[in-house]
Formats: sequence, structure tokens, C-alpha cells
Amino acid sequence: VTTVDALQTALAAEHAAVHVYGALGAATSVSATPELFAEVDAAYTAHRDLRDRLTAALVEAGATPVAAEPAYDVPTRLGNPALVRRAAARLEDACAETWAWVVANTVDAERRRAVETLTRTAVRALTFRGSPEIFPGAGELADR
Amino acid sequence: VSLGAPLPVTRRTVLGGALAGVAVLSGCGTTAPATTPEVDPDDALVDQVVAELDEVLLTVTALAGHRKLAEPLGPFLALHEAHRAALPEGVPTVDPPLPQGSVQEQYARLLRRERESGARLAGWAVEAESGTLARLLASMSAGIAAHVTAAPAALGDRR
Repeated sequence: VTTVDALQTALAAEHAAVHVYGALGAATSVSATPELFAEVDAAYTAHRDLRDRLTAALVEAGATPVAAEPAYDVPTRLGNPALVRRAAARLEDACAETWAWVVANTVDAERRRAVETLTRTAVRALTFRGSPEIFPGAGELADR
Repeated sequence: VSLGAPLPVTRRTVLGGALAGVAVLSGCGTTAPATTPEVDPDDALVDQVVAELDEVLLTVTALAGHRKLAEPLGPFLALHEAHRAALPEGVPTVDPPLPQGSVQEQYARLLRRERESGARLAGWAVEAESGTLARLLASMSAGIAAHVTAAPAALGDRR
């Protein structure tokens, strides 16, 4: 796995996160659930910024950044705030797994950025989950 | 996406993971060595990590014995016990710290120590030769950051 491969994998995950958070945002209301709306909006912005940073890094490396898919699997049951929170928590867990994988498959500055991103993802997941994970991105260790 | 490989539980598998990580990260297709080298590039790093985890675990264990700290430190105790169990066994080479100051001061000092430990683990994750070990250390660091964020900022606060 090259650094470019690892960044492409991360970019594909961030494309998905941006898309799904768009759907989660549409399922929240700034007037009825302002706190949740703000949390989803902040997460959307964070993932969009990550997507843009990865795209720029790949272009700088001479690679063609992977494009977003035409569609993604979006949770269909988002009828109340608890369901939106659960979907957001699952999404952050999936992103944490990806970033932990990126840590393992990069070195130096890119690995440092991946470590920092994994930490920010774990803290953001807390917003939606309510309790912290022991091994963010490596949940298989928590079950041993 | 997942790494798809179990993470280390013993020094031997830490070493095995290190070798696999080096091969992957170098991106070369050369033949792997037929025997395990005498010195693993991550040996000294693993020793540092184990000493760090032991010290923090002993600190939390000692403080959690205090009536007012048992509840807020419960999640930290579970966290560090799980983290320690992911690395090679061994007898701690550090002594538990002597409690100093009020219970509020001890709690505040512990939170600072937790942040320091998380930063150290993040730095070691970058240094590790093995990608598998790097992933483990980065996950530990992120877990500490999430626990510190979830914990009351000061004793008596509710989150």
C-alpha cells in the first residue's frame, strides 16, 4: 500500500461521510433540534474540510483524486433525533476505522496527520455516542 | 475498511507485526528474511510504551481508591487496563505516585497526565516502524483524548 493508495482510501471514505452527513442534516431541524442540527453541521464541515485537504494532497502528489460515487447507502430510518445520532455515531466509527488503517499504511507527516485525524474523529463520535470508545478505529480489541 | 489483521497481544506478535509493517510500508517485493532478526526496530519503543502505560495505570488505580474519585476515574481505569492488556505482559518497573494535594488537585493533575500520555502515544505512533503497532498506539491515544473530553473538567462538574 503506497501513501497515495492510503490517501485515496481516506478520500473515498470522506466523500461518503460528506454525502451521508448531508442526508443527516436534511433530517434535522434548526428550530426543533438546534443542538443536534449544530452538531451535524459541524461534523459535515469537518468532513468536507478533510475531503478538500485530501484532494489537494493527492493533486500535489501527482495523482488523480478518486471521485465521489453517484450515490451512497444512506440510513433510511432517520425519523427522530436518536436515530440521527445513531447513524452519525456509526458513520464516525467507520471513519475512525479508515483513519486507523491509514495510520498503519503511511509514514512520517501523513501518518502524523492520520493520527491527529483519528483523534478528532474519536472526539467527534463522542458527540453522537455519549460515551467514549476504548480503542477508536480498532474496536476488535475492545472485545477481547 | 479495516486492517484485517489481529493486533499484538504478546511481544512476539508485536515483533511479527513490526516485520510485516516494514515490508508493507517499504512497498517492495523482496523476499522476507527466513528468520526473525535478533533486534526488532520497535523493541525499545514497545518498552517505553509499556512503562508509560504501567505508570498511568498505577496512578489511576491509586487515585481511584479515593471515595470521591472512584466514580469519575472508573472509565479511565477500564481504559488503561484494556490498553495495557494489548501489550506484552510484565512486572511494572515504576512505583505508584504518592498522593499530593487536595483531591481536586489530584484529579486536575491526573487529567493533565492523561493528556500528556495521549500526546506521547501519538508521537510514538508516528515513530513506530510497524504499521500495526502504529495503529494500536494511535487508537490508544485517540481513546485517551475521547475519555478526557468526556470526563468532568473539574471534580464536582457534571458532563
